Amino acid sequence: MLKKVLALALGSALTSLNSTATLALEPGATPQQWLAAGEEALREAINQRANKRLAKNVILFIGDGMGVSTVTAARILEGQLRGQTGEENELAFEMLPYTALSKVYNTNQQTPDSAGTMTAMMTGVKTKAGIIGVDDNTVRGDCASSLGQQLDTFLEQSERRGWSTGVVTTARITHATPAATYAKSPERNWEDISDIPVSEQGKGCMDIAEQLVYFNAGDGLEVAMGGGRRHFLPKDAAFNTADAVSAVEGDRTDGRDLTAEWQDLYPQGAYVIDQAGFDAIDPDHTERVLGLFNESHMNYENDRGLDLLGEPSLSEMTAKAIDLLDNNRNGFFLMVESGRIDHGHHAGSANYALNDTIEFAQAVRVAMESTDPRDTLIIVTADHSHVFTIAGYPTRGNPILGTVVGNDSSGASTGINELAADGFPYTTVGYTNGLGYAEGTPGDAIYNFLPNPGRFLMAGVDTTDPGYHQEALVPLSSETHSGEDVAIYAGGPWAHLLQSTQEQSFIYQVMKHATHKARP
Amino acid sequence: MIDTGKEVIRERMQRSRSACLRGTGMNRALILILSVTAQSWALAAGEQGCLMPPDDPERFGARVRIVEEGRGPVREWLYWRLPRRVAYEYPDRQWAELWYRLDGGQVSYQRRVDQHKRVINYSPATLRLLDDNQDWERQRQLVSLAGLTNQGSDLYRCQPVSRWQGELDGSPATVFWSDALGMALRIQRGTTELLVTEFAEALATTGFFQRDRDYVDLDFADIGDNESDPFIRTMIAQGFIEHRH
Repeated sequence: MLKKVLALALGSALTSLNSTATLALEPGATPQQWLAAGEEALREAINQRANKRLAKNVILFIGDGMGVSTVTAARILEGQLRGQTGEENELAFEMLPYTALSKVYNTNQQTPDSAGTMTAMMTGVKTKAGIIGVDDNTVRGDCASSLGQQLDTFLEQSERRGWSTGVVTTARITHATPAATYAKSPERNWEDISDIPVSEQGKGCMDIAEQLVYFNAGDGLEVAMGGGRRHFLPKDAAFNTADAVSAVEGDRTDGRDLTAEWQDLYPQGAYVIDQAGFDAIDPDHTERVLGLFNESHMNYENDRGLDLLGEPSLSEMTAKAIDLLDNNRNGFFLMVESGRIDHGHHAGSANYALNDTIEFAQAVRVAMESTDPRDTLIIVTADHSHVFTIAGYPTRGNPILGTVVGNDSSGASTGINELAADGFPYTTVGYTNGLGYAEGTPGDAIYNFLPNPGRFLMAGVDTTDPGYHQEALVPLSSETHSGEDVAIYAGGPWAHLLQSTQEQSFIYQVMKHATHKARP
Repeated sequence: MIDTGKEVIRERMQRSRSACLRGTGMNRALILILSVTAQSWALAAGEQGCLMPPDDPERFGARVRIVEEGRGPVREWLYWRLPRRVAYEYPDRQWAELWYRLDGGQVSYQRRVDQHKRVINYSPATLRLLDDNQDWERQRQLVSLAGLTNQGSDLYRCQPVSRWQGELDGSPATVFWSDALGMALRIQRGTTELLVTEFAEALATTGFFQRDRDYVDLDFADIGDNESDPFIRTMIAQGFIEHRH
């Protein structure tokens, strides 16, 4: 029996969006069922009509470090967590109708970093690794060289057009990806004044936190939510919040409390630091929000329940941001980043990276359900990928975080671990480099230990446990980005322009065209 | 080359872990150093005079020494205490470990590298998932008395102490405990012992904790995005974060 599985129970808003068919066949489907499913998908593709309206709203989703292998593994894991075999599942953003590939290199690096890649997406100009919102005439870490090299971002243009704008992230709000929407800096790490070397201070460069508070394009950011409170507070225990996790929460050495300065600038705005404050925001009657929910990065989705005063999830922040931004009838631009997919991979933890990817997909689903595809362009992409692989020949439905159980010569599952040439089992997912094998060391705890490159896995180890870290070949202090292309998924006005293989900076061109040109 | 035997793999794991532990948490170092089993004892030279206790039991520093029978002092570090804060400083290596107890019992953890004026932070949520670094009592007291039995009063270098005996991490041990300070002044275990050799006063303690006022903070989670940072490279080269290559 042909089973049409809606991978996610999307509402009518989503199905009316020019999204693709979500046909998926469970194990045991007949050839006739495959053909019928294919024909239905074909019909949907044929009937797909390019939307050439003016985009009223644009939402750009960035899965930091979310390469294609991460998308595939997260898709399978999400399905398996729902009791399916997993391979047939689709993440919410995979239902968007248009897909392209993005070339991610920086102007000075084959394998890029987030600062250069996000600058390319936000300004249309590729630049060097490590620098934000300035062109590649800039020397990293040299303030004077960056002056006059500033680039105009799509967010700034949106503000000047009278739109509302928002930035939402699970990383620090001053981290490279969110910073590239609103800041200009010759060094991504100049998140507050204490990060700028004395030799570079007073030369005309402002730290990133200060740039956020005093961002003055249009009427300023309406929504800024993420972590990074430390960069806004003085290095003085007297300024610690109830959510502080360090003896001295703030880092600023200039004595300034930028959260107080923001509240002075925007007396009608809401400054919140925890779940209760977040929940209390009425988006229909709130002018703007500054939400700094953690001293540093917000927690991984796996660990969110451990936060002292509670943190909203990425999907909760996305929903609240859209509800607030759509108060502006002119339109809005929102950038949403899942910043910790990248950190999970850097730590060599597929479990952490994939669970954050699943939550990221949930945030996209929220956006798809709460906006109109006729007037809202949604783009979902990554800034770069990681050296994360899906390998071996596991049988259908094999746990994606598990060890490889293969098929026998007849094609049926053997039910037992495949053994490598060294006589030991191996996991389906793994890393080319990084800290390598570990047990019982969840997330970033791995950085407390020396690398364990090579083969350690023995039978009986629960490789699906959050404390398990996959094996790696090359020992490095952390797992690295990779230089391969990443995917772009898009729906809404002018999303059809996103096809083929494009320079990453092309994303800016599509956003600008969709919102400015609106001609057939 | 791939090692094939299970024992070889286990040994490699343990060797790697042990190498790291020796270089980090002192409580873990203590477990390793005290894990020798002989029973004879000898105080190292210079530990015979009376200790001068600190005026404020909540604000002081102490010099802590590990002495091994037949080898003498094998390791030394400085202990620093403020309310809700404790730190172990390793002056010879110019770095320190700092713990901070939050309301509700969570503990945050930092490594401070004085030579480079840097502080590396752990996320408390992540740290909470690790057992030993969260053991606030053990960090602050140098030992946990859980499972030990009070054997009565004694003196350690003129200081009144209570003597506790039992097993520490599976080996017989004796702890000389200062009720006034709420910490061990002497721990005997096997052929190895831990000794508090002198105290520093509150002023020096405040100075230690304020030393990092102009240091740059870095999260462990940020290491992956900062491979080109000269500090990270140096730390890797020195084996602080990584060694072997």
